[in-house]
Amino acid sequence: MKKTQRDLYTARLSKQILDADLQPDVGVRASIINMFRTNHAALAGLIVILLIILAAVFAPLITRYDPNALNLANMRKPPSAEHWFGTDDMGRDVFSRVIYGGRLSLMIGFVPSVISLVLGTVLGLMAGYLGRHVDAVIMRLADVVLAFPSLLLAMVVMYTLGSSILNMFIALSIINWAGTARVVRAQTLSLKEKEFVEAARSMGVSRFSIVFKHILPNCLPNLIVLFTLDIPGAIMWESSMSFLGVGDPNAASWGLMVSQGKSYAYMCPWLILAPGLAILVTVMAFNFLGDGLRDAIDPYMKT
Amino acid sequence: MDNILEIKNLITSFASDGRKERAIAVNGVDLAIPRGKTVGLVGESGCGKSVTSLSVTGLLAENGRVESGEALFQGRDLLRLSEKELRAIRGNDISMIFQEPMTSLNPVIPVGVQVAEAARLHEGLDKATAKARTVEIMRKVGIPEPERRYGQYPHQLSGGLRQRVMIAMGMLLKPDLLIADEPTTALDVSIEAQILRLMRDLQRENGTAILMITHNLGVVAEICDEVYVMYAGEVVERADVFTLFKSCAHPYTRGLMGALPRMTPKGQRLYNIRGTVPNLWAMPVGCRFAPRCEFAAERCHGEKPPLLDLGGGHLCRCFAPRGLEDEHHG
Repeated sequence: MKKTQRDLYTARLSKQILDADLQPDVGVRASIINMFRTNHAALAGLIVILLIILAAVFAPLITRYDPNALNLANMRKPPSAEHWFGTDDMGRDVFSRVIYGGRLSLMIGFVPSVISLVLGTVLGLMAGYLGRHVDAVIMRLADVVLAFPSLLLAMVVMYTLGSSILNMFIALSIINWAGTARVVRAQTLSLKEKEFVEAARSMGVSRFSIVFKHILPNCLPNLIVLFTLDIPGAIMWESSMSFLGVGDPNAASWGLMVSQGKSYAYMCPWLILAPGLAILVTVMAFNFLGDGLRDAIDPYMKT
Repeated sequence: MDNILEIKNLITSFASDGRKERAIAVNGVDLAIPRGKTVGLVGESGCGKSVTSLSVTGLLAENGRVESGEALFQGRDLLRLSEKELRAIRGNDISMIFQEPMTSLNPVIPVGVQVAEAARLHEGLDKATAKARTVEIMRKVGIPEPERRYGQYPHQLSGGLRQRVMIAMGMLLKPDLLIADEPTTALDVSIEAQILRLMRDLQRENGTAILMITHNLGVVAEICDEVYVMYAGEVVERADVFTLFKSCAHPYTRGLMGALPRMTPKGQRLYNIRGTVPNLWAMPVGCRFAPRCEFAAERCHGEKPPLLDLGGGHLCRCFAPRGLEDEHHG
């Protein structure tokens, strides 16, 4: 099973936090702004992501054709001035379908990433701060999730619950929360021994406030990076699963388009190239941005 | 007798990995803090002075436990209060200042917000009122441009300023008792003097009693009214500050005094107490200081000396307390 960027980052981060005392993140904002000035790949990533989001939001204004309008007289036409990315086997405009598919793929990138971020953060904070049994239960659960190959686990969930977009969100959330929980737990373990936590306790601050008002803000920079790397991960997983036929067959995401176009791969390569490139560009943009943010936030990466 | 806090026979233990027995870190400490006065708690690292204060405020680490004793504060025994009741007292009636101003402030929260938190928590003030009050106390503790500093992060402040912020935090709600755990150890000497003066001024103004935990006898001389000297989890000497510096009686205290650098003829070596602090799991049977004491007799090794009253509230845990006149070292 391949290791994603995110897995590597998660593993390294957990280790680092436990190894060395994490430096307080000072001037993170300034560091990020500075990073965008020097790291043009990250800046390009940010711009591309914004463009893709804008395209998805304003899809009706950009496209000339209804993505689902069939035109059997105009099947499998190569790219032209009329149809920029050609038409598919049912005469639908591929460009429109890619733009509209972007709505779905972005949603698939964001929604499960938000869910797994929130879930992983809360569970990680609980495990790290409460310790003992709570920690043991949550971390063994995380181990179980991490022990399965992610794709297999997600496919099992999809098979069990049925192929729908909602179940896709659930499956992707399940495979992603554990890594986040580990990172947050490691950081919480280190943060809760800090004097400022003791100082807060000595002022009568409740445990709930200590966790969410004092410890959580210190984890935010890393969470932002994890989130940025979660999104392309989710898009990739969804594409893989749609390609393998366990996605929602009615949700025209990029992955499904590639899957449906594969029968015509030699005859009409644009059917897989267009959505394939869309996936590639989006995932790379997020990865460049995530890398840049990580370098800006993570003082240990700087050389 | 008007004591704001009276600790009686406090015993605190710690669990340690791989050992069945719990280590006794504080062994029967009695301590009284008169209202509005400053009491020093002196001793070397690991003697139990911080553990004493943490036991009283219920802030012991997870593996620590108060075995017995009582700590009377405003007629209530702090050691028997629930966490919720203690939370209402902490920061409001009893506040604490810690050693490291660098790490005692949350790096990602503006300092003003951190100070204001106590006011919002205990007095339920709204944001604007709490901010006004915070700015006022920040000005009072000598932070220039408090309105601007309010929104700044800890890394934008110097060490001295940060400790002033901590003091502002501790004094905001005019507590009855301020526990200061090595508040000046991390600071320059000149800043140290300023901070001590500030604490004394605020104390006079608010009638706050201070428990000053330190290993620095200079700080004790500067600010304390009474002093307790701790060694290996026990109080070995108690006296008012003048008596202590004029005629301390316990060999350990005398050793500490002797180890102070002084202007002496060139070539004399600085006195140091031989040996090290005893292991928590292997405490000497008799006097705990006996193995390091140059005056130890047979009896000291087998029998534990009681805390003797030498008159005028001067207590000393030694069979043969000495006056300063027969001191030859230093």
